[in-house]
Amino acid sequence: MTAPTLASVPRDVLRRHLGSEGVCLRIPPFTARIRSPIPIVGEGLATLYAEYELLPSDGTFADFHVAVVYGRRFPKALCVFEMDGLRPFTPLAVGEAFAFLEWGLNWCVTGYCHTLISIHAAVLERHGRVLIMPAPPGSGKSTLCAALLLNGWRLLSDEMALLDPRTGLILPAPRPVSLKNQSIEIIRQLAPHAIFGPLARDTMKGTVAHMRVPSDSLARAAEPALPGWLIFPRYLPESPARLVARAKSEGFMQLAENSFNQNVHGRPGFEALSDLVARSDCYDFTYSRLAEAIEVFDRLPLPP
Amino acid sequence: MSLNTSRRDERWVCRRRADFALRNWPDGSVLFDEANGQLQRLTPAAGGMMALFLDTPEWTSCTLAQRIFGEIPAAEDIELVANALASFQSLSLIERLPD
Repeated sequence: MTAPTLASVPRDVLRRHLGSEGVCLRIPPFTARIRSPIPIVGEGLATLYAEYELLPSDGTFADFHVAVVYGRRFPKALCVFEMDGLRPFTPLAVGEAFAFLEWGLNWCVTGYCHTLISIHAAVLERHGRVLIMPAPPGSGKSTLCAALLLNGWRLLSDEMALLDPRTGLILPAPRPVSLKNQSIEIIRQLAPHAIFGPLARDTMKGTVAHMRVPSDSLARAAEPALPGWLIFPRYLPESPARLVARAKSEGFMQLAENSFNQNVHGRPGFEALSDLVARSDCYDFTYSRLAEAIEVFDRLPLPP
Repeated sequence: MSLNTSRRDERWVCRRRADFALRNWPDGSVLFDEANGQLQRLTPAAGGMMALFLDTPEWTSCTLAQRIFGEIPAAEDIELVANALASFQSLSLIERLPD
């Protein structure tokens, strides 16, 4: 028997649950109980999390209890993110409520999940090996990630690599891909069939929209994989796609800088990150055109 | 080129070997200091020297240069090693022993 998904819940029932006790969703590898009386949150969940497993409301252990609720309503309606009743962020406009939930969930994982080493990166898999792309905001990481997952790569995460220090494997954490500003239209044109959630306008990052995870990536969310490539991407206007080998010691340092909690793990964390780098081919990558970038990634040799 | 004799014979010790973890690659090394969580990126040569300290805690510039460069190291080689050791000291990785 297949587990029920969020799609099995009619939208009006979902709205009612979200506004009261919340819904319990399996968002691999975590379970989250989500509450929100704000319609745009329900709309985003129904659109982007339709295929995620819905767990019983009673008796299910949830890693994170989160909510996006109304803050003040006047002069401008605001919303607030809550985790276990805490309100760690300043309120945002109600139109940003779904994006706020996504950002809040990221914060929950990076702030509280210390059994794994989390690294700010886009993460994909092909032929059993994982591509890790750590990069600061504005580097084109998510756009490249979206283009690759639409061209045969499996999405593990658009936002964070979760490294299990005991096994050296990267755990999938497939959630909607966050795209900003022009990237939204670029990806829509590249994949007219791709499904997007609500647009959040005038955020601190500009306009933000989330793209639904491909069904195959979600179906394989229980399949971790070994690291294979560590690539530092950078969007550079008018630049041809260029892949340049990078020193592993440099790659290690940049990986560590992008880790949220490597320091928490002490020596085992150092060893785990070192093993990840040792297993991976390291490159810098600059690009301006996605089609060229996809070709380069398609030709990446499989590491030993 | 002549080298100050006292510098050749300076004795250095790595007292905190147990705190360090080192990973070497052909293009460089990374050293982790468990005492404070700090990471240092080292050149291949410096990584090689640090590996020797983790193996044997006490060296002079001269004995270390001999180990790295061969039986009779040139004065320039010893100077190179002595400078690296001074850098290690500034990073609190090793200590100079009193004469």
